[in-house]
Amino acid sequence: MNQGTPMRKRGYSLHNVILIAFLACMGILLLFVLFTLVPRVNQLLEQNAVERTRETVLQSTSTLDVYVNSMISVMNFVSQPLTRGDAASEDTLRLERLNLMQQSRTDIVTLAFFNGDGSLRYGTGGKLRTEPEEIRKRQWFQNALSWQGTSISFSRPHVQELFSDQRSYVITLARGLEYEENGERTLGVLLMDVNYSTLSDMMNGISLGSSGYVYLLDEQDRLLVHPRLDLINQGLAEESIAAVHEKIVGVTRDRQNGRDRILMISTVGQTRWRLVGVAYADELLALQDAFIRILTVVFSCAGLLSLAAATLMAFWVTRPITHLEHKMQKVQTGDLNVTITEKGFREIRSVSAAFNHMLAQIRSLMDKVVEEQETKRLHELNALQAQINPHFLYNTLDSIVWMEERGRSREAITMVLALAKLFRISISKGRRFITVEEELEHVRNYLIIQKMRFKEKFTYEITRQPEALCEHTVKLIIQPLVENCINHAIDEASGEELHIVIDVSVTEAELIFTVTDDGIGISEERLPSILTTSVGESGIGLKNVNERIQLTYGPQYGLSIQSVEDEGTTITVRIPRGWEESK
Amino acid sequence: MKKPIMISAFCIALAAALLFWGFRWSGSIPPQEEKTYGLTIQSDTGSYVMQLRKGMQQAADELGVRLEVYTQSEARQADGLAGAVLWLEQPSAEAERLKSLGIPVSIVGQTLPGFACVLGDAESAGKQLALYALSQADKAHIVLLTDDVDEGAAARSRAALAVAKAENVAILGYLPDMGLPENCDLVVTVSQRATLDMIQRKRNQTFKGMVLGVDTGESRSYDLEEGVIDAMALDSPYAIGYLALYQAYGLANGDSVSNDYAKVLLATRENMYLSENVKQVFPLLH
Repeated sequence: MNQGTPMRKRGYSLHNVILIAFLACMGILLLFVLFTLVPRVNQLLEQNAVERTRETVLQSTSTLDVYVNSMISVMNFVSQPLTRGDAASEDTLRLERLNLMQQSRTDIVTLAFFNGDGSLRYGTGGKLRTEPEEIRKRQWFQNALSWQGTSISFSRPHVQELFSDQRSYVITLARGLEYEENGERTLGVLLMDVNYSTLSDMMNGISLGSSGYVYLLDEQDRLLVHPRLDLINQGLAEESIAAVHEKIVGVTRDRQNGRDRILMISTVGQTRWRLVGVAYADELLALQDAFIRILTVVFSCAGLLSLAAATLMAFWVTRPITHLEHKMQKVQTGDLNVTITEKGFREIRSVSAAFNHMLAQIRSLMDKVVEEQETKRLHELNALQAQINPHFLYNTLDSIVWMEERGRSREAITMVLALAKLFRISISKGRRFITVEEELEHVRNYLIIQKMRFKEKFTYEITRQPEALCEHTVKLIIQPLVENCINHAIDEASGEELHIVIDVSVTEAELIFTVTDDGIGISEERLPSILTTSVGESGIGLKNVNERIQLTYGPQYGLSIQSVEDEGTTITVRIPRGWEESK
Repeated sequence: MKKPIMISAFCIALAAALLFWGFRWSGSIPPQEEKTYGLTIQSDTGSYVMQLRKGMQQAADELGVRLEVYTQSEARQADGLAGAVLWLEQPSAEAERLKSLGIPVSIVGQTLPGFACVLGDAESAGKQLALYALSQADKAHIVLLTDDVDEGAAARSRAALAVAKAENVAILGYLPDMGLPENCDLVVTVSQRATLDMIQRKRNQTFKGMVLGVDTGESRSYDLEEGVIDAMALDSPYAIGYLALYQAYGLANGDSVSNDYAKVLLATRENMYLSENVKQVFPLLH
């Protein structure tokens, strides 16, 4: 494991990606609502406000219509007697009728009937102070005569001064009436003065919003009734009617004194007057403003809550991953004893479990490697120890002394030389691997020594393929096999001589050592445990050899033993070719 | 570990605060306390004060303030006024008293040094009288009677003089019971006393020419109708009252204001019945 600084963090943080993604989704949703809902609601609010205002104006117009019609009805009522029968004979009754009508209604100031020449026939106003010639010049009189009763003339507001005892601020209604006098049909004028304050009170009581109002225009677009008429007349206020001038009826807009206005125009029947409702857009749309403000507050809160939710969600989602990351970083620094708590989402749990399993396997593998290395070391140590096993040495030295005492110096020298060569190859300057030639030399020297000790007990031969000699092998693998033969294969009972054949051959990929004897063999019961037998005299058992081979080359290599009781045993060692010290 | 929780808690708290404050902001505006302005008058009868009050009430409605009307004695008991308008013969003492209390004051009908005032446009009236006279008679037969009995008369005199001098019209300083030139067909008077004097002469038929003058008071419409006066320069107390309250309101709000002058109507028999003039000619009518 590479121990050192934790892995440098690269790329985007999952926490930030989740946070941004969530905020982006919320932002898109809010923007969608904003751009779809808000314009539509604004439009509906505006339409609703305008419509309500329009309805108010129409209602006002209707009220005015009703009033005008009632006035016309009064005129019709008082004019009927005049048009029936002889005019002069019933004037008294007609005057009574006029008085009755005028007294029954507070809004009627004067009712009077004028002859065609302008003279007063009868009326409720008292004594006339204006000459007939003057009356004939009056616009209302001229209109009434010219229209010949087909229509009613409505005057502008004015002070009525026709009568001596009366000054009233009125609107004069005048209508031509044909009547019969002395058998002739002639045209007169019925006059009805209506109190201006009745009309102005009716109009000025109407409000459209806190600043809105209605006003009345005559047929020449002059102001008849206006809540600020006095100020307008004094030049202290103004009313722009340019937009109204261009539109007969309907809805239009203009701007006055920095405020946008919505003008609703309708006509008052029979009079050619127009009623104009003025509503201020900023008041009408106050609800819209309130809606925008509320929406701003709500969207701001939604944004903040989205940020809170996104932060919490990103934290909640990435916390187990961050925990996993921290643990992995600890592993990266070399601490394999880390255990990750399996918690959080299913996928994180799965990854945590897999990571824990992987760590356990790594630990197990490392333990196994350590164990193997330790075993290898022990085997090598054993092998090394065997190189200086005192029993073999004592026995050999005893043999040398014995020979020397017997005068068999040449044999002693041979044994000494063989022993020296044996130990030299055993040590091999500390190398683990030696050539096959050296290994065979080792076993040959061993056999020289053992032959001299055991004389007629065994014979041996060594065969090999020449190309095998330069191959390398882990040292001290043949001699233990030969030792095993000598120690276990000799039939002491029969006294027959044991023949040992040592052979080295090669295949394309392997080196094969075989040690064959014709000894007593190994029973079937004992055969399986041969590779676990303790060390022999030389100190290295078959088990040691097999384990060293497998530790070095792998489990597919090692010893195999074929044996038949009383017939012999063949031990085969297989190792790979081309295996050198560096490996 | 704690940072995300702290951030979230902060956002939630901020959202809650925003929601609380925001709905208060987006809701209805809390009603503001209505301020009161006072009108102190010398007399509560007469068409002048009636129209003055109407004009002030119109302004009060537009400004969203309350109007209270006091006599001089009542005014001393008044408390908490945002501003005051004085229509008094001798306003200086009351004006100083109110000024000492920190109440802004507007004076109606006359000027007072140190105080803003609203008056009828006397100079315009004088000029209109002079010009109308020239349109009605040969300038050789016109006499202008100047008078400085009061501030308004003096102003009208100055304006009429300017026109008269340019036209070489005869100019005489008014004196009661003064004689007039024999060829005089039209007299222009600039003070009420001179106007009433000339009206009386017409009634007595000691003068048979045209008389142009100033407001004769409650009989103004009858005087015009009778023909004892042919043209009359009329102030608009409605406009004066309207302007006066706006002036006091401006002063209360710290605006710098100057004297205001309301338009003067030259009423004649031809125009006296028109709706735009009814308020000045027939003030009790409308």
